[in-house]
Amino acid sequence: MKKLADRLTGAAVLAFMAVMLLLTLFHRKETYSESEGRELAKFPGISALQEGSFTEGLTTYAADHFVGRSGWTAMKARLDHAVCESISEGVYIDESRLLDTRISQAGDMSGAAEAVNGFSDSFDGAVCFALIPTSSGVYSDVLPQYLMSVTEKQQIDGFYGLLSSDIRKIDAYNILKMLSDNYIYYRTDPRWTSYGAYAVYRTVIQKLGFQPSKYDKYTIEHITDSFKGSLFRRSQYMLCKPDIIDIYDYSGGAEVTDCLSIDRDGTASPAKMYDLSALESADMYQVYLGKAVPFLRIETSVNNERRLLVIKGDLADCFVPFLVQHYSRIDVISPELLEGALTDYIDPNDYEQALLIFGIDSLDRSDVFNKLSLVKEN
Amino acid sequence: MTYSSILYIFCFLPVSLLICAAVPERHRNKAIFLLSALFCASFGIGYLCFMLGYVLVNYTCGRLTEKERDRGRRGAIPFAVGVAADVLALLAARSPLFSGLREALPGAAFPVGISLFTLSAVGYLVDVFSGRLRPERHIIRFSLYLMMFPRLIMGPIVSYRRFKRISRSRELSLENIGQGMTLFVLGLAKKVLLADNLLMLYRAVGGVDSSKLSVATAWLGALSYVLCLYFTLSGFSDMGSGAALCLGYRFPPAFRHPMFSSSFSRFGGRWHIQVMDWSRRYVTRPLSMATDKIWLRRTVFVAVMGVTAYWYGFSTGSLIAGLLFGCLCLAEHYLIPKKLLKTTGMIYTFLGIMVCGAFLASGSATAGAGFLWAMVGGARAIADSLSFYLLRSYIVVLLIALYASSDLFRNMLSRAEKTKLRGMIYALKPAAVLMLLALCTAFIAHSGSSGEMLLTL
Repeated sequence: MKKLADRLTGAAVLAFMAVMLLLTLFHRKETYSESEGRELAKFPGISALQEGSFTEGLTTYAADHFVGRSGWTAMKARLDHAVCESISEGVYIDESRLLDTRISQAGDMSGAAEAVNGFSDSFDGAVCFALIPTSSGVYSDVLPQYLMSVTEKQQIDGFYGLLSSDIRKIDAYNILKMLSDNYIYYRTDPRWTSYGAYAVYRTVIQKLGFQPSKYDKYTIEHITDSFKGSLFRRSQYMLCKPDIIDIYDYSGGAEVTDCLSIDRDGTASPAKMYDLSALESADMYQVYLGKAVPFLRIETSVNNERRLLVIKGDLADCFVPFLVQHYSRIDVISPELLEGALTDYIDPNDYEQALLIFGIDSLDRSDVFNKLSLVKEN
Repeated sequence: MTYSSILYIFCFLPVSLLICAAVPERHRNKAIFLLSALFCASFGIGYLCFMLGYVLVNYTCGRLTEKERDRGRRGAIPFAVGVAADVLALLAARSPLFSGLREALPGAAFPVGISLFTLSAVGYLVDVFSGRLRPERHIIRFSLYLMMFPRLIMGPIVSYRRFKRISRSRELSLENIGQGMTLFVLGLAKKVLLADNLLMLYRAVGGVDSSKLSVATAWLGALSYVLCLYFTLSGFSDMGSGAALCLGYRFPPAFRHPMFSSSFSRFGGRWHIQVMDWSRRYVTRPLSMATDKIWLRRTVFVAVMGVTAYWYGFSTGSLIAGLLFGCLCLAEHYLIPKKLLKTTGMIYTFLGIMVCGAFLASGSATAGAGFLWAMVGGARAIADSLSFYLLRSYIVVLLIALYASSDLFRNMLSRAEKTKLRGMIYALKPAAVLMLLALCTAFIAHSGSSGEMLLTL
């Protein structure tokens, strides 16, 4: 009987392996994962064989196209949360939200600070800088302490200390921290919500010399309640409620008269403040300002001839719409995507104010900040 | 491609089994050799070339040693050349002395498993030189001894004579595949479910400066390290032996539940049995034979323990851990009365192993001492919020790990097999193995493999 049990085990395991292998080989290969919102790996080519990365490529390919991949990952997240430390694929699973544990821990910020100082020196107008914490920073008390050797608050203070005194600094951390009972951060994404952005906008716009628009002037529309952010996509933890994406509409206020984007390859095309077609795609966050482009010019019906230069990381996409009520022209630069120099796109003398708004996770990317140089390279 | 990867489990292993089953018995060695070559090539073409060269050097040295002897000489030169080449290769790959060389060759990958097959190769040459063994003439058969794919990463090391015996009695059958897969899945579970989670716990403790560690956290760190080491090593050797058993090779187990041994010497006899055997057979015994002074023999014993532990970590910390363990064995021999309650023995052995583990984990003497200081209360706090958090998070994993590292489950099974429950156990076995495999799959599906290792042997 023992022999029979052994044979059965052998047959069962072999059958399981064979079924998984055949299903993986023959099910239709997607090139893009909807649930994870990213391109899946391609089969490694001949060049990988020469470079010696063939097996790594094959391992990633096998994992990416393994049958039932998101189901397996979801199962792991459930198990991790139930019986182990609730960190799955680097995502901390709390009852109410997912938090990123792979946050850059106080990398070298001096490169970024130098670049910003250099920008401020060569820019004639006023420069305002807002460094936005991630949800892991604002809800750091939820995370186990050992993950945070340096808190985001300390990182922000450290960075502001490196900036020149001419730059107006926005203490976004404390603003958001005070509101942490509200829906200021997505549950499934490390970025802030529109409401979080509004809270910071109130302070920013005062520093820039305007009265902020009142909250009750806005009509808020929930355009979706099924936004699954990057933390969900990584951990596939199903029990966390998907997020709501809001659109703030200022009824009776100024309107966008023209909106033009310039893509990486230099083609100009009309753009929208809110691109509702993004709701059909995997990354619904692109609702704000549409597809990520290096340069965006927004002209409004405000009649004050004031122009603002916004230089931003991707989390500020939901922030920009609030500025529409105050400027007749807003130029938005995403240095991450910028090809060539900043001065190829804009003339710095056009603006009397510049707003720099970045997430704390981009601080150690000095390559991004180095693109801010206004000195023409000859 | 490591054993605990999607690619190996769901592609390489079943396809290899299929190929080996399809190939007639007389060509099976060649088939296994080609598959092993493919497995080596998956770590890089350079690694395959290295392995082939390595096999060739050892094969030639073995043959030359015999030829020299046929001509009436001792054959010391080919023997010495072979051993020197093997040891140099090991040092070049692992020793911190050669880190400059490794940096100069950025393209060269780490030769996986070199620590283990170096022991095999040196053992083979010593056996040939001492006349206990006639060298292998058949190069394919010999190459399987060093580079057979289920043994390559951390598979059990056995003497060549034993390997030949195991090969001769090999039999590819569904029954063996069943037993082999059971062993393989158990090994996979040890690595993926236990060792990986314990590694996360160890990393959490290791990230804190040891002067700030509370006593409880430090003990959690040492415990997780020792358990993680045990489950990584035994998991990989189980996966290796399991896959080998699928091909019909029945290798001896590498560990016999060492964690709850009732004395240090018993621990030494159950921990990584073939490695300990190897050092006893090829180093301790010949050296001890040279002298009849008892204190010299004891010194040799302690020194060899140190070197064996150094082989694990290639750091001063691991050397100290080994020396310490050797001293503990001696102290036990002289100081502890022979008649002792089993539980008392278990407790002091466990505590001693934790202390050795602290040094092994820390890597250097000062860091090890710092960690030990934290374990005895150097930071003056018995427990802090971190220890409670970690304990709460990992208590289930730790309890399962402790249970799995003891022999309780095995004993329970073998006892139950003698009762009426036998039928039920046999009926449930396939389902249980499948479920465990599915569970492991869930844990590696996202990244495709769980290659993160505590030590690279």
